[in-house]
Amino acid sequence: MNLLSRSLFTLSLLCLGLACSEKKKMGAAATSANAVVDPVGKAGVNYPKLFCENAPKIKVRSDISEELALLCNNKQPTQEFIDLRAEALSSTPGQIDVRFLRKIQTEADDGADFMLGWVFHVPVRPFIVKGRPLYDYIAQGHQGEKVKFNVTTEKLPDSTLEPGGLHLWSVEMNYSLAVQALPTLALANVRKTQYNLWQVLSGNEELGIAIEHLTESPGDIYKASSLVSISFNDGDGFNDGRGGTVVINYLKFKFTNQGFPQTAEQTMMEIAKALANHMYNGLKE
Amino acid sequence: MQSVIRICFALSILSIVPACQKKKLSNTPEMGVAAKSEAAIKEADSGVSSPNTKGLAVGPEKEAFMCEQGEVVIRQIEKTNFLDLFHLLCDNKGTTQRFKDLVASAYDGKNEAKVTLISSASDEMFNTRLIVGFAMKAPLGDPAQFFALKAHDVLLNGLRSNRSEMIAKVESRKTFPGRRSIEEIIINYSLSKSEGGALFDTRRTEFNTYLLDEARTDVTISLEEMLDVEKSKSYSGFRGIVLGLQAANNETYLVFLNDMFIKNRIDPLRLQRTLLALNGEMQRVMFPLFTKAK
Repeated sequence: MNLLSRSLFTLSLLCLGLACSEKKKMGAAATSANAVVDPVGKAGVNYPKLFCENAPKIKVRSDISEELALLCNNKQPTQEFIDLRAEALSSTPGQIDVRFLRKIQTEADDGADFMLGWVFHVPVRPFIVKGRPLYDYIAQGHQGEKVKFNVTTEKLPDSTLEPGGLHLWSVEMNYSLAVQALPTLALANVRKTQYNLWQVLSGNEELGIAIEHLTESPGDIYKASSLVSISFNDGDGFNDGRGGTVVINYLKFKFTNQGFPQTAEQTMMEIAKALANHMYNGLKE
Repeated sequence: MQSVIRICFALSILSIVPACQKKKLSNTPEMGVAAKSEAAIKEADSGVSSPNTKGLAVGPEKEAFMCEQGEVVIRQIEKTNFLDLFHLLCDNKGTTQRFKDLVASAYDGKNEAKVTLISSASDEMFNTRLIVGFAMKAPLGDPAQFFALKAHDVLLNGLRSNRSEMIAKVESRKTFPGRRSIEEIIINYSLSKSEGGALFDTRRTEFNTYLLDEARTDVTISLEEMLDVEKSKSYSGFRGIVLGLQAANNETYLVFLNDMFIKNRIDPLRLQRTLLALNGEMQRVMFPLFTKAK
């Protein structure tokens, strides 16, 4: 059993009263004190460290402090970060382990608070990854048996980008979700987000961060939604065309489950898997 | 004496006799207050129902699930003021004999649409509380289809029976409003005629249907509760429960209990006959909708 699996099995499930919560780390840090894997690759660059030193300096448009805290501590990569990189590098291509990092649902207010995560490795380098239209991959939507979502996108003009040259694109995303909660009736909602991509460090083509955040939720169904994807060279290259890319993803949703907690949990997992596959398939070659 | 009664009746219809409302029914709990024992409800023989069966409706597992999880859900959604009604149909052993009796006499579109008077009480100030029950054996694959058919809409055409008349208009529908409800319907009822006599009784209710398990559509519970009770000149309250239970052969039992607490009536028996007749008519009016859906 690999380190990740061990950690997932040993982390505790907390169920208190009517609220059921589950909190996990994505990497193996919780149970693998001696699992340090050297994050410095052939090119001699410690990308996780570079990321942690520079990502907090970027002027992003939403709060990503939770994600950064999982990966970085005092400008140093956490064991979680190192483990996730190692997991991505050792993973079977196309086999993406999407898992819940947080599951909190409260009966009294139909509240749902989920965090999911997944990692993957693709053989193309970050410079190419950054040039790919991630938003178009996501816009393929999903047509599952019970869960369907459609996405339309609108790329915003360059004039809306933050100055400084690190902000590479900004896209408005319109989601329409339908969940067949009953054979005769679907839970349906819409939301708008803004999806932005930044290069983390000027002059370094090998580090990127894509951040999607909620901008509009008619009916106040969603309190928050975000997708944070960091990408960095797998260590084999540095601005020289070599190496592949490690991508670490965190997806968060806070919303009202409308009294359907099991359905909400299943739906979140299905959405996350769809996003993970769309991203991987778009970037894998 | 008769002329006094006639005058009081006229005044009460006009709702200008507040003194007539001061005294509560001696054997009736406050509407909306939970936990009234079944034994405390005085049985009354309406003469319209005489079922007798010891059998289960659809089998012990499903009925036990309905009764156990029904109570769990009622407590979770904080509608414990329905528990006393619920316990008329379900106790800690499963479905009650009353539930079985109602199911045994369920209207299937061919037999008589029966209505059982479970409780009737009036005080000298003409406040009347009636609890009635009935069941339908509908050709529906599962009870969740009941709301999908928008069954309440047919009441807009009115219920007419025994020179009595009631119309119900759906004010709004909201799917998945939260707290486990799959649909919330706001309904305005107007009881306009009782055995030929004009009435002006109105009530506004909220009808919610709940799944007992998100993954199961074979068992449902619907709770109907009166809104704006304090503003009503006609009612001191109204509660309704509908238990939906999928049966064999693509059929579904719908078991209804209605608990009405009506003010300002001079003739409780007349009102009782009216409501029994209209509840029977409701079954006859609604049933073709189920048949059509099949």
